Amino acid sequence: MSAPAPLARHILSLADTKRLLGIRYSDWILGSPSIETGIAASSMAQDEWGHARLLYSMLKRLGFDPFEVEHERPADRYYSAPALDRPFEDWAEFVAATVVVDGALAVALESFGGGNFALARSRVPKMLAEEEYHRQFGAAWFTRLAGSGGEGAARVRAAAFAMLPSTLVWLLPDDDLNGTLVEEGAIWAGARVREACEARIGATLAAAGVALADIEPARAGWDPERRRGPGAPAEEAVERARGDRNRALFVE
Amino acid sequence: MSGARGGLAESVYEVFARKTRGEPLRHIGYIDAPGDELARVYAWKTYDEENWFEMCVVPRGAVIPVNRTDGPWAANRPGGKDGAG
Repeated sequence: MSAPAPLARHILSLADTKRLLGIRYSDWILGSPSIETGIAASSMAQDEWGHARLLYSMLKRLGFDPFEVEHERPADRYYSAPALDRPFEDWAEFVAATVVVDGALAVALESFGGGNFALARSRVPKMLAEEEYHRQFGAAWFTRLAGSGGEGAARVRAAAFAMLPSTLVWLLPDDDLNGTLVEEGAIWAGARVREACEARIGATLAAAGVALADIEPARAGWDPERRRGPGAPAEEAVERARGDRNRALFVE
Repeated sequence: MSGARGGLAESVYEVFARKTRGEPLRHIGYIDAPGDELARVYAWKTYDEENWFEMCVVPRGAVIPVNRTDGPWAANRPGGKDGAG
Protein backbone atom coordinates (compact mmCIF):
# COMPACT_ATOMS: atom_id res chain seq x y z
CA MET A 1 0.00 0.00 0.00
CA SER A 2 1.51 3.34 -1.05
CA ALA A 3 1.54 6.39 1.23
CA PRO A 4 -2.04 7.71 1.37
CA ALA A 5 -3.21 11.20 0.52
CA PRO A 6 -4.52 13.41 3.37
CA LEU A 7 -8.11 12.18 3.32
CA ALA A 8 -7.17 8.49 3.13
CA ARG A 9 -4.61 8.96 5.91
CA HIS A 10 -7.31 10.52 8.06
CA ILE A 11 -9.78 7.71 7.44
CA LEU A 12 -7.13 5.05 8.10
CA SER A 13 -6.23 6.75 11.36
CA LEU A 14 -9.85 6.73 12.52
CA ALA A 15 -10.53 3.17 11.33
CA ASP A 16 -7.36 1.63 12.77
CA THR A 17 -7.91 3.36 16.09
CA LYS A 18 -11.45 2.04 16.27
CA ARG A 19 -10.32 -1.47 15.37
CA LEU A 20 -7.61 -1.47 18.05
CA LEU A 21 -9.95 0.08 20.63
CA GLY A 22 -12.44 -2.71 19.91
CA ILE A 23 -9.73 -5.28 20.59
CA ARG A 24 -8.73 -3.61 23.84
CA TYR A 25 -12.38 -3.45 24.95
CA SER A 26 -12.88 -7.10 24.03
CA ASP A 27 -10.07 -8.10 26.40
CA TRP A 28 -12.41 -7.12 29.28
CA ILE A 29 -15.60 -8.88 28.21
CA LEU A 30 -14.70 -11.43 30.87
CA GLY A 31 -13.00 -10.22 34.03
CA SER A 32 -14.59 -6.78 34.28
CA PRO A 33 -16.17 -5.75 37.60
CA SER A 34 -19.65 -7.15 36.88
CA ILE A 35 -21.59 -9.15 34.32
CA GLU A 36 -23.36 -6.00 33.14
CA THR A 37 -20.02 -4.23 32.70
CA GLY A 38 -18.72 -7.13 30.64
CA ILE A 39 -21.81 -7.02 28.43
CA ALA A 40 -21.29 -3.29 27.96
CA ALA A 41 -17.63 -3.91 27.08
CA SER A 42 -18.72 -6.53 24.54
CA SER A 43 -21.26 -4.18 22.99
CA MET A 44 -18.79 -1.31 22.85
CA ALA A 45 -16.20 -3.59 21.21
CA GLN A 46 -18.74 -4.54 18.56
CA ASP A 47 -19.66 -0.89 18.04
CA GLU A 48 -16.01 -0.02 17.44
CA TRP A 49 -15.52 -2.85 14.95
CA GLY A 50 -18.70 -1.93 13.12
CA HIS A 51 -17.56 1.68 12.86
CA ALA A 52 -14.12 0.54 11.70
CA ARG A 53 -15.65 -1.48 8.88
CA LEU A 54 -17.73 1.47 7.75
CA LEU A 55 -14.64 3.66 7.76
CA TYR A 56 -12.48 1.12 5.91
CA SER A 57 -15.19 0.80 3.29
CA MET A 58 -14.88 4.53 2.58
CA LEU A 59 -11.34 3.88 1.37
CA LYS A 60 -12.66 1.86 -1.56
CA ARG A 61 -13.99 5.12 -3.02
CA LEU A 62 -10.45 6.49 -2.76
CA GLY A 63 -8.90 3.65 -4.78
CA PHE A 64 -7.73 1.37 -1.98
CA ASP A 65 -8.21 -2.39 -1.89
CA PRO A 66 -10.24 -2.93 1.32
CA PHE A 67 -8.98 -6.50 1.74
CA GLU A 68 -5.35 -5.39 1.66
CA VAL A 69 -6.07 -2.56 4.07
CA GLU A 70 -7.94 -4.73 6.58
CA HIS A 71 -6.06 -8.01 6.34
CA GLU A 72 -2.57 -7.58 4.89
CA ARG A 73 -0.78 -4.78 6.73
CA PRO A 74 1.99 -5.43 9.25
CA ALA A 75 1.90 -3.75 12.67
CA ASP A 76 4.23 -0.95 11.64
CA ARG A 77 1.77 0.05 8.93
CA TYR A 78 -1.06 0.65 11.39
CA TYR A 79 -2.20 4.22 11.95
CA SER A 80 -3.87 3.67 15.35
CA ALA A 81 -3.53 5.98 18.35
CA PRO A 82 -0.43 5.06 20.43
CA ALA A 83 -2.41 4.74 23.67
CA LEU A 84 -3.76 1.45 22.28
CA ASP A 85 -0.40 -0.10 21.37
CA ARG A 86 -0.45 -2.39 24.40
CA PRO A 87 -3.28 -3.99 26.41
CA PHE A 88 -4.88 -2.19 29.34
CA GLU A 89 -3.14 -3.39 32.48
CA ASP A 90 -6.10 -2.90 34.80
CA TRP A 91 -9.70 -1.73 34.90
CA ALA A 92 -8.59 1.85 35.59
CA GLU A 93 -6.80 1.90 32.22
CA PHE A 94 -9.94 0.59 30.52
CA VAL A 95 -11.99 3.36 32.13
CA ALA A 96 -9.42 6.04 31.30
CA ALA A 97 -9.42 4.88 27.67
CA THR A 98 -13.21 5.12 27.43
CA VAL A 99 -12.87 8.79 28.34
CA VAL A 100 -9.57 9.78 26.71
CA VAL A 101 -9.26 7.61 23.58
CA ASP A 102 -12.92 6.88 22.88
CA GLY A 103 -13.70 10.52 23.65
CA ALA A 104 -11.00 11.76 21.26
CA LEU A 105 -12.29 9.39 18.59
CA ALA A 106 -15.82 10.72 18.99
CA VAL A 107 -14.59 14.29 18.68
CA ALA A 108 -12.59 13.35 15.58
CA LEU A 109 -15.76 11.82 14.14
CA GLU A 110 -17.79 14.92 14.98
CA SER A 111 -15.22 16.95 13.07
CA PHE A 112 -15.20 14.54 10.12
CA GLY A 113 -18.98 14.24 10.01
CA GLY A 114 -19.25 18.02 10.13
CA GLY A 115 -16.99 18.42 7.10
CA ASN A 116 -17.76 18.18 3.42
CA PHE A 117 -16.89 14.53 2.69
CA ALA A 118 -20.28 13.11 1.71
CA LEU A 119 -19.71 9.57 3.02
CA ALA A 120 -18.72 10.92 6.41
CA ARG A 121 -21.68 13.26 6.53
CA SER A 122 -24.07 10.36 5.90
CA ARG A 123 -22.45 7.64 8.05
CA VAL A 124 -20.99 9.42 11.05
CA PRO A 125 -24.25 10.53 12.73
CA LYS A 126 -25.28 6.93 13.51
CA MET A 127 -21.80 6.20 14.85
CA LEU A 128 -22.04 9.24 17.12
CA ALA A 129 -25.45 8.13 18.38
CA GLU A 130 -23.93 4.80 19.44
CA GLU A 131 -20.93 6.61 20.90
CA GLU A 132 -23.22 8.47 23.27
CA TYR A 133 -23.52 5.32 25.39
CA HIS A 134 -19.73 5.00 25.42
CA ARG A 135 -19.55 8.57 26.70
CA GLN A 136 -22.05 7.89 29.47
CA PHE A 137 -20.28 4.66 30.42
CA GLY A 138 -16.87 6.36 30.54
CA ALA A 139 -18.07 9.42 32.41
CA ALA A 140 -19.93 7.40 35.05
CA TRP A 141 -17.08 4.96 35.68
CA PHE A 142 -14.36 7.61 35.59
CA THR A 143 -16.21 9.87 38.01
CA ARG A 144 -16.93 6.92 40.26
CA LEU A 145 -13.31 5.78 40.41
CA ALA A 146 -11.97 9.31 40.70
CA GLY A 147 -14.32 10.01 43.58
CA SER A 148 -13.57 6.78 45.40
CA GLY A 149 -10.26 8.00 46.80
CA GLY A 150 -7.38 5.63 47.40
CA GLU A 151 -5.89 3.33 44.82
CA GLY A 152 -8.73 3.44 42.26
CA ALA A 153 -8.60 7.22 42.07
CA ALA A 154 -4.82 7.28 41.80
CA ARG A 155 -4.79 4.65 39.07
CA VAL A 156 -7.46 6.21 36.86
CA ARG A 157 -5.77 9.59 37.19
CA ALA A 158 -2.38 8.13 36.31
CA ALA A 159 -3.86 6.26 33.34
CA ALA A 160 -5.49 9.42 32.00
CA PHE A 161 -2.24 11.35 32.38
CA ALA A 162 -0.37 8.58 30.55
CA MET A 163 -2.80 8.47 27.60
CA LEU A 164 -3.49 12.16 27.09
CA PRO A 165 -0.20 13.50 25.64
CA SER A 166 -0.09 11.06 22.70
CA THR A 167 -3.86 11.08 22.22
CA LEU A 168 -4.09 14.87 22.01
CA VAL A 169 -1.42 14.84 19.32
CA TRP A 170 -3.37 12.14 17.49
CA LEU A 171 -6.52 14.26 17.73
CA LEU A 172 -4.79 17.51 16.80
CA PRO A 173 -1.99 16.78 14.32
CA ASP A 174 0.13 19.82 13.59
CA ASP A 175 1.28 18.93 10.09
CA ASP A 176 0.70 19.96 6.49
CA LEU A 177 -1.50 17.01 5.54
CA ASN A 178 -3.94 17.81 8.34
CA GLY A 179 -3.81 21.48 7.38
CA THR A 180 -4.80 20.52 3.85
CA LEU A 181 -7.91 18.71 5.12
CA VAL A 182 -8.91 21.75 7.16
CA GLU A 183 -8.41 24.04 4.17
CA GLU A 184 -10.49 21.73 1.98
CA GLY A 185 -13.30 21.70 4.55
CA ALA A 186 -13.12 17.95 5.21
CA ILE A 187 -12.57 18.44 8.97
CA TRP A 188 -12.86 21.21 11.53
CA ALA A 189 -9.98 23.55 12.34
CA GLY A 190 -7.88 22.72 15.38
CA ALA A 191 -9.42 25.35 17.64
CA ARG A 192 -12.91 23.96 17.10
CA VAL A 193 -11.71 20.39 17.67
CA ARG A 194 -10.00 21.45 20.88
CA GLU A 195 -13.18 23.17 22.02
CA ALA A 196 -15.27 20.08 21.25
CA CYS A 197 -12.77 17.91 23.13
CA GLU A 198 -13.00 20.14 26.19
CA ALA A 199 -16.80 20.02 25.99
CA ARG A 200 -16.89 16.25 25.70
CA ILE A 201 -14.36 15.11 28.28
CA GLY A 202 -13.12 18.20 30.15
CA ALA A 203 -15.58 18.01 33.02
CA THR A 204 -15.11 14.26 33.42
CA LEU A 205 -11.32 14.55 33.57
CA ALA A 206 -11.65 17.39 36.06
CA ALA A 207 -13.21 14.91 38.49
CA ALA A 208 -9.73 13.39 38.78
CA GLY A 209 -7.99 16.75 38.90
CA VAL A 210 -6.87 16.52 35.27
CA ALA A 211 -7.05 19.73 33.22
CA LEU A 212 -6.80 19.32 29.45
CA ALA A 213 -5.18 22.74 29.11
CA ASP A 214 -2.29 21.61 31.30
CA ILE A 215 -1.42 18.57 29.19
CA GLU A 216 1.66 18.96 27.03
CA PRO A 217 1.06 17.13 23.71
CA ALA A 218 3.78 14.55 22.94
CA ARG A 219 4.84 15.68 19.47
CA ALA A 220 8.34 14.11 19.48
CA GLY A 221 8.78 11.36 16.90
CA TRP A 222 5.64 12.26 14.93
CA ASP A 223 5.27 10.06 11.85
CA PRO A 224 3.43 12.14 9.22
CA GLU A 225 2.77 9.11 7.03
CA ARG A 226 0.97 7.14 9.76
CA ARG A 227 -0.47 10.25 11.43
CA ARG A 228 0.74 9.16 14.86
CA GLY A 229 3.64 9.21 17.27
CA PRO A 230 6.41 6.60 17.41
CA GLY A 231 5.82 2.88 17.99
CA ALA A 232 3.24 0.41 16.70
CA PRO A 233 0.50 -1.78 18.13
CA ALA A 234 1.60 -5.11 19.62
CA GLU A 235 1.85 -7.90 17.06
CA GLU A 236 -0.68 -10.06 18.90
CA ALA A 237 -3.35 -7.36 18.61
CA VAL A 238 -2.60 -6.81 14.94
CA GLU A 239 -2.93 -10.54 14.26
CA ARG A 240 -6.42 -10.33 15.76
CA ALA A 241 -7.22 -7.12 13.86
CA ARG A 242 -6.19 -8.74 10.58
CA GLY A 243 -8.04 -11.94 11.38
CA ASP A 244 -4.94 -14.08 10.82
CA ARG A 245 -6.41 -17.19 12.46
CA ASN A 246 -9.44 -17.08 10.18
CA ARG A 247 -7.51 -16.35 7.01
CA ALA A 248 -8.49 -19.64 5.36
CA LEU A 249 -12.17 -18.92 6.03
CA PHE A 250 -12.48 -15.37 4.72
CA VAL A 251 -15.62 -14.78 2.74
CA GLU A 252 -15.93 -11.43 1.01
CA MET B 1 -31.85 -5.74 46.79
CA SER B 2 -28.70 -3.76 47.31
CA GLY B 3 -25.35 -5.12 48.18
CA ALA B 4 -21.65 -4.45 48.35
CA ARG B 5 -19.32 -6.54 46.25
CA GLY B 6 -15.74 -5.86 47.15
CA GLY B 7 -16.50 -2.21 47.68
CA LEU B 8 -18.68 -1.80 44.57
CA ALA B 9 -22.14 -1.10 45.98
CA GLU B 10 -24.80 -1.90 43.39
CA SER B 11 -28.58 -1.74 43.24
CA VAL B 12 -31.09 -3.65 41.17
CA TYR B 13 -32.92 -1.76 38.44
CA GLU B 14 -36.00 -3.12 36.69
CA VAL B 15 -35.99 -2.62 32.92
CA PHE B 16 -39.12 -1.71 30.94
CA ALA B 17 -39.37 -1.22 27.19
CA ARG B 18 -41.68 -1.05 24.22
CA LYS B 19 -41.06 -1.52 20.52
CA THR B 20 -43.54 1.03 19.19
CA ARG B 21 -45.07 4.26 20.43
CA GLY B 22 -48.54 2.82 20.94
CA GLU B 23 -47.45 -0.37 22.66
CA PRO B 24 -47.58 -0.61 26.47
CA LEU B 25 -44.28 -0.65 28.34
CA ARG B 26 -43.49 -4.18 29.45
CA HIS B 27 -41.08 -5.54 31.99
CA ILE B 28 -38.20 -7.15 30.09
CA GLY B 29 -35.72 -7.89 32.87
CA TYR B 30 -33.38 -6.33 35.39
CA ILE B 31 -29.77 -5.30 35.77
CA ASP B 32 -27.40 -4.53 38.63
CA ALA B 33 -25.80 -1.10 38.52
CA PRO B 34 -24.05 1.25 40.95
CA GLY B 35 -26.12 4.27 39.92
CA ASP B 36 -28.71 5.69 37.54
CA GLU B 37 -26.25 6.67 34.80
CA LEU B 38 -24.68 3.23 34.49
CA ALA B 39 -28.10 1.60 34.89
CA ARG B 40 -29.20 3.36 31.69
CA VAL B 41 -26.10 2.21 29.80
CA TYR B 42 -26.19 -1.36 31.11
CA ALA B 43 -29.90 -1.74 30.33
CA TRP B 44 -29.48 -0.46 26.78
CA LYS B 45 -26.45 -2.64 26.13
CA THR B 46 -27.83 -5.75 27.85
CA TYR B 47 -31.31 -5.79 26.30
CA ASP B 48 -30.29 -4.81 22.79
CA GLU B 49 -32.02 -7.69 20.98
CA GLU B 50 -34.78 -5.36 19.76
CA ASN B 51 -34.85 -1.97 18.13
CA TRP B 52 -36.66 -0.44 21.11
CA PHE B 53 -38.74 2.68 20.68
CA GLU B 54 -38.49 3.40 24.40
CA MET B 55 -36.68 1.92 27.37
CA CYS B 56 -36.83 2.95 31.04
CA VAL B 57 -35.14 1.74 34.19
CA VAL B 58 -36.66 1.90 37.66
CA PRO B 59 -34.82 1.21 40.91
CA ARG B 60 -36.30 -1.99 42.32
CA GLY B 61 -36.76 -0.23 45.65
CA ALA B 62 -39.12 2.28 44.01
CA VAL B 63 -41.62 -0.33 42.84
CA ILE B 64 -44.49 -0.63 45.31
CA PRO B 65 -46.61 -3.75 44.89
CA VAL B 66 -50.35 -3.30 45.03
CA ASN B 67 -51.85 -6.76 45.48
CA ARG B 68 -49.05 -9.33 45.82
CA THR B 69 -47.22 -10.19 48.99
CA ASP B 70 -44.54 -12.25 47.25
CA GLY B 71 -42.13 -11.66 44.38
CA PRO B 72 -39.16 -9.35 43.93
CA TRP B 73 -40.97 -6.20 45.14
CA ALA B 74 -42.66 -7.67 48.20
CA ALA B 75 -40.22 -5.98 50.57
CA ASN B 76 -41.37 -2.58 49.27
CA ARG B 77 -44.96 -3.06 50.48
CA PRO B 78 -46.01 -0.49 53.04
CA GLY B 79 -45.39 -2.24 56.29
CA GLY B 80 -43.35 -4.94 54.57
CA LYS B 81 -39.76 -5.83 55.45
CA ASP B 82 -37.52 -2.89 54.46
CA GLY B 83 -40.64 -1.32 53.05
CA ALA B 84 -41.70 2.26 53.14
CA GLY B 85 -44.55 2.07 55.53
